[in-house]
Amino acid sequence: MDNPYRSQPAKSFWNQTVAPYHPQEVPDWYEKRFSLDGLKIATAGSCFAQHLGRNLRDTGFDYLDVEPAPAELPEKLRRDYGYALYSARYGNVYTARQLVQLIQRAQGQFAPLEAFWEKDGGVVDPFRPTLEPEPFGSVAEAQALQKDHLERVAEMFRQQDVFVFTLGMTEAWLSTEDGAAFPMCPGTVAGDYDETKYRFHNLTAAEVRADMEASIAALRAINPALKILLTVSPVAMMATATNKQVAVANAYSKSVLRTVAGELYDTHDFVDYFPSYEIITAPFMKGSFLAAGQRDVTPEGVEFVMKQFMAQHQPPSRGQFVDPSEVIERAPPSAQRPAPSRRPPPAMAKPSRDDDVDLDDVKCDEEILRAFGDGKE
Amino acid sequence: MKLLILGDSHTAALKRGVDQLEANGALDPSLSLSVYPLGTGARLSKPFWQPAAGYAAITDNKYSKKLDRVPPKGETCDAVGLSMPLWYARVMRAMLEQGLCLPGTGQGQVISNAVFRQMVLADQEHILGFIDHLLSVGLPVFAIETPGVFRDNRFIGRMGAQAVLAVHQTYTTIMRCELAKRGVAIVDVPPESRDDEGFTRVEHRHEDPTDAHHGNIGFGVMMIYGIEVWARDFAASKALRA
Repeated sequence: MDNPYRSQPAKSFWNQTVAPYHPQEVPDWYEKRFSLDGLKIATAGSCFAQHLGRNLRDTGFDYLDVEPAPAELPEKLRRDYGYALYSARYGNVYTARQLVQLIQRAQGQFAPLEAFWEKDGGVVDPFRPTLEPEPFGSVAEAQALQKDHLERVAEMFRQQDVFVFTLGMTEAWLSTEDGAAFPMCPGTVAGDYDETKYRFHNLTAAEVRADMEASIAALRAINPALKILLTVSPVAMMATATNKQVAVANAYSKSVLRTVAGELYDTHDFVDYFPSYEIITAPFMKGSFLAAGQRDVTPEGVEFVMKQFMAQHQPPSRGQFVDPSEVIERAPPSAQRPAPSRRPPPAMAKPSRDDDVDLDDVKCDEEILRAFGDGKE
Repeated sequence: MKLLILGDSHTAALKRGVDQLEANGALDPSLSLSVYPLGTGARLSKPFWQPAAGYAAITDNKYSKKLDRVPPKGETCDAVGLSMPLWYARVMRAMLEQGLCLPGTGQGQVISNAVFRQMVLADQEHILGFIDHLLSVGLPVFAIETPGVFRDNRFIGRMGAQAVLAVHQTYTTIMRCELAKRGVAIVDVPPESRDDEGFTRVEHRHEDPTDAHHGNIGFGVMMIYGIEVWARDFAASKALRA
């Protein structure tokens, strides 16, 4: 009896694609929707996006950096000062609401009432409060930096051919006055919490969808040929402001983001989705790519994710780069696939001390929330 | 008192000042000044020395042709004067090349004062290490200020006067703080040598019309006078301590 499943490829069947394989040899995670060849790529989003950006830059893609680090600033300090994390120094853009407002601010369409937060006798930019280790010395300094930053972000939007955005979470802190979305709760790293000035809001799927649609429309108004590549961060939330247990709140957040990413992919042929979230968090991966604490992704996990990505987007600097997954991709249905291996790949090894250093190399300012959890890490 | 003076190309004006004062019999007879121009300041931001027991070995292959160790072998000195820690041009050049500026001072990619401070400290890393080592082996160190910014400095045409003056002022403020932390005195360019805007007055400018950043012989003489004053104070405080 004929039915639509008969014509489906092997990757559509769990018992052909997942069950027979060692988790790290599961094939066909991702098939690109468009090529990145020769296109200017910009990145933004939650902290996992830093890995994507760094790999794209290091492997020779045409990666935009509109706020490059001063050459005289020692390399070891650059990330601490907000350089080389993304294509501009906006820090982590966790929510779709932040993204749409960033676009509006860069285009002069939104000027939040709150211009700075006080910290340790200085001031910080509320929209990137952990940009530098020390606060700025004056409001004038903070404003000069913010003005220049937004001009460069606008320039980035004009130059980019591909915008890579990693959706991080749905929990947002908003100004009660004008709805400005802050990356962090006021009073955590800077500023003072005042419940009459700020409110917590957990974005719904409809709101995330609306914010993303508005962002996409605004960016494509600048460049009608713009392509969008979405990912969802596999890094779990550090803390929740809801009354839910944090893992439950995290599941809501990631589910919403994954849903919206899927809807955007299905709606727009210029939107691609790369499943970094699934690769790391799929149950059959057994958390093998999660560091101690089960929240951060290990360096091996990042490498594994990037291998799936690079197998589809061949890096310009690697020439004849061939990834094992490419071999599997070319293979016919499961019967002719190579026999699944049962040996644990080297990447299963426990992270070393050096690996811990690598983990710290990603600047995830949400980490600072550790300091506000009464030591209950 | 024997003073050893060394550093970048600005030591040339100091040497010419010493020579003129000696020729005129105007140099303080209680002072012996040995001036060693190591070479262009461009190499001072790279490792140019190594610590040794009781001295610093100059390892930069160009500098070591002028002086291979501080103090020189077989010589003693009462203090070392450095024309190194207050010269801002390497960082200024880097900012110009990359189109950077300090907040509110010009056109370009704005960097924070904290980022600039890290750039300055990186630029001066080996000089500050050199100073720390000399102090650790018991050699008193003082710094000699360089001429600052002349109005026709070539950076101005490309960055704007405000931006250039801001870089100079901020750079020297950062380094004055670092030197103060180490107890290193500074022989300053006298305030009257600068105009109201902060430019070094043209009468101190190098005689060569194409050279808009070195001081002339008069500048050298003026700074040697400043060194003499410092030396007298230093000797007096040393005597008091004894």
